[in-house]
Amino acid sequence: MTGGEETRPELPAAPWERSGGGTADPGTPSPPAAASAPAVAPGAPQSRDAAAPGGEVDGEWHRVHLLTPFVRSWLLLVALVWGFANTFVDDVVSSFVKHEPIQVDVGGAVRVVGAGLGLAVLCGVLGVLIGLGLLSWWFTRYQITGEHVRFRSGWLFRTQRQARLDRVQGIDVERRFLPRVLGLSSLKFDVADGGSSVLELSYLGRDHARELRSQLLVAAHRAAERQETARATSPAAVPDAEAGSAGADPAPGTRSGRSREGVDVRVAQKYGILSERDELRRVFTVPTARVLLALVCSPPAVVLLLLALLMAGLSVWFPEALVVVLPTAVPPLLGVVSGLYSRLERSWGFTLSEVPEGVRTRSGLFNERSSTIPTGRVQALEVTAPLLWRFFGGHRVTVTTAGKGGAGGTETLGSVVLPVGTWEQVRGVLELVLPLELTPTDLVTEGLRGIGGGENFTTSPRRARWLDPLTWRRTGFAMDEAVLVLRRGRLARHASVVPHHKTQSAALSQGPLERRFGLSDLSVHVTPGSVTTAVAHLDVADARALLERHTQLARAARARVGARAPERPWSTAAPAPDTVR
Amino acid sequence: MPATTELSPPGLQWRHVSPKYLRVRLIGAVITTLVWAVVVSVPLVLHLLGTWEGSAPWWLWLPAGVVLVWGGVNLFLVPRRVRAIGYAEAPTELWLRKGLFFRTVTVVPYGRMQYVDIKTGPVLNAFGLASVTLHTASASTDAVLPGLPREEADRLREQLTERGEEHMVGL
Repeated sequence: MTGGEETRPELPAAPWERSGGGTADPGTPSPPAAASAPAVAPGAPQSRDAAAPGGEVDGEWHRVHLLTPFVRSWLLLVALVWGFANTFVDDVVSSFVKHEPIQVDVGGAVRVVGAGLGLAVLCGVLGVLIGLGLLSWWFTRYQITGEHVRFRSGWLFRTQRQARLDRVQGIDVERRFLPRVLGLSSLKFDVADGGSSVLELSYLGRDHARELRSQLLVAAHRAAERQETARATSPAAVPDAEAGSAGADPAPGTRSGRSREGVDVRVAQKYGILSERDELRRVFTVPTARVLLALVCSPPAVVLLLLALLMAGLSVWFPEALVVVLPTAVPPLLGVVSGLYSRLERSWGFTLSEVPEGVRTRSGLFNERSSTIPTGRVQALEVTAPLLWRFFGGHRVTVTTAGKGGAGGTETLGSVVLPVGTWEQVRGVLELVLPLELTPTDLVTEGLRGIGGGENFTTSPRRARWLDPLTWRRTGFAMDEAVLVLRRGRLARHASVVPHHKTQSAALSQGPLERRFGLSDLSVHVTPGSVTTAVAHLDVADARALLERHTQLARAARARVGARAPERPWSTAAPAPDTVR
Repeated sequence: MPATTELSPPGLQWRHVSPKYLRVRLIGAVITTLVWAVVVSVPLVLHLLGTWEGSAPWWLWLPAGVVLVWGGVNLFLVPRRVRAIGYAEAPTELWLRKGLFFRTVTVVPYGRMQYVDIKTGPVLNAFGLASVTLHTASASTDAVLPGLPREEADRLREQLTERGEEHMVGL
């Protein structure tokens, strides 16, 4: 926490502040005047409140730094200046040098004679641009209330984005190159909604940003705490009068006290309010070089290369064919390029951090997105080693998370926990993401690299080579007490991990051709997602034994998990009081 | 001898769907075959009625013939298909099997069931039958028991719900 904050005056009028402090201390006498479920104690500001985030957490609309629009559109500015330089300066300079009357050639159509007029046009255009920038600045505002951060921009097409403070997972101070040179920073909010776009307040002065961040962290802390308190008191679902008396009652007091304590510990870890640097434990950021390398070695890039080679070949040998081929090549080209772009967006600056609920991912080049993956809800995980990434040891890890499948847009980002990473990073991710006590690293290693039946893996029988000439020695499964590991693929190698206690159901299937070969497919059903959880062409006896054994192990695993954590299924209506904790 | 013996573990008490369901399937197969036969023989009929010029070439009879032969084979296989459908109630899981050429054996733990549907259509209803569908959190769980007698369907639903609550585990 910066010193500036403590000197800030407290704003007792702000409504969020009262509800934040009241439940903090169970000993505070709560008058039964509470209007809402979270008991409110308006009197006696706590000592923590003395360090209240006053400042801009007041519901007023503030403006960002004046330079913002110019920094945002620096590329445009550079292009314009370059254009002007090309058209005017060249002419002006050369005419000065040659002592000729100045002739400025504007695009060859209009001839503007005289330096004065040329300069006037230049200044006029620049003035208009600056005016537009100022207009844009005037309409770019942010507001911070006790519950929300809102960011509004645009004067012709207005956009407003907001983030709930209690869902804010972290706030980063970002400094990119140009803003950094100008002493500007932006604040980036990671919100715990699946696949939501990152909210960014840009740009603020460097010190201002740092100070605002501390204020916001405290406000977010408060919001989360209030949310927690509300959750702790709401199951009672009592009318107003009872809520007041409940606030004075010692039992709910201790309960809210306990929850507050929980929040404090969690929040202290989560936000590290007293620390200056990043509060989230950043596990890794994928280096840009590797992102680009992976991109170059991706299927769309290869397709692009082939297309380019085809074009080059055609233009050399059959130039006349190009007239026909070029237009037809445009749609696939667009597809390839958009594929490349989406890959880039998904892996550029990919950052994985640890948060209390699980892990949080963030990536994006132009449109940064973040997504929180609660570890407990991970249903299955897949490690892939694509053929073209083999030479630099690239791996991709995707997960299926309950409640995140289906909706296409969020699924694509929310499911990748490592777009391209080394084997060491894969190991780290396995440790972090899998909801298991013992990470089956050995099984996954063998699942990714092994071939043929090993000590753990059972593969397709030799007769399956007629159906899978290339992959039959790879296709296989391994199982221990907690997980099922499936492996497949020879060129691109895949290994899927499905914890037993997460499987929904399982099925064996067999077609007429497979019956002739005595083979059978096994699929394990998990919630919808991108991870493949099926293995093909196993020996019938093996598959049947696997199904039977898997059923037993899954039963045991469910019993184990059910005994350890009395998780209530989300289908049951009212939560029991003891689950509030 | 059920067709899926080699896919399922021994020791399960398999139960069959109602024999009346065979008639439902037969009616369905006949209707489908006839509809397809009518659809594919439209050119033939137009020729025969003289709407189109000339007499019908011989190959115009082919589509209708193929559809009818296919329908006949289908009708012949329906009894075996219906007999292949079965379910077994194990202590903690429900086992389902189906298919004659493409066989499937599915295991659904009771604790994973989210809800159980009972559906009935006009034909099923006329025979006093209903179909029971089990839903888990996975979209790929394909657990349908078609053509159970109404009472059996209701009993199964009650049983499944009860056992589901008993064994329920969160996601």
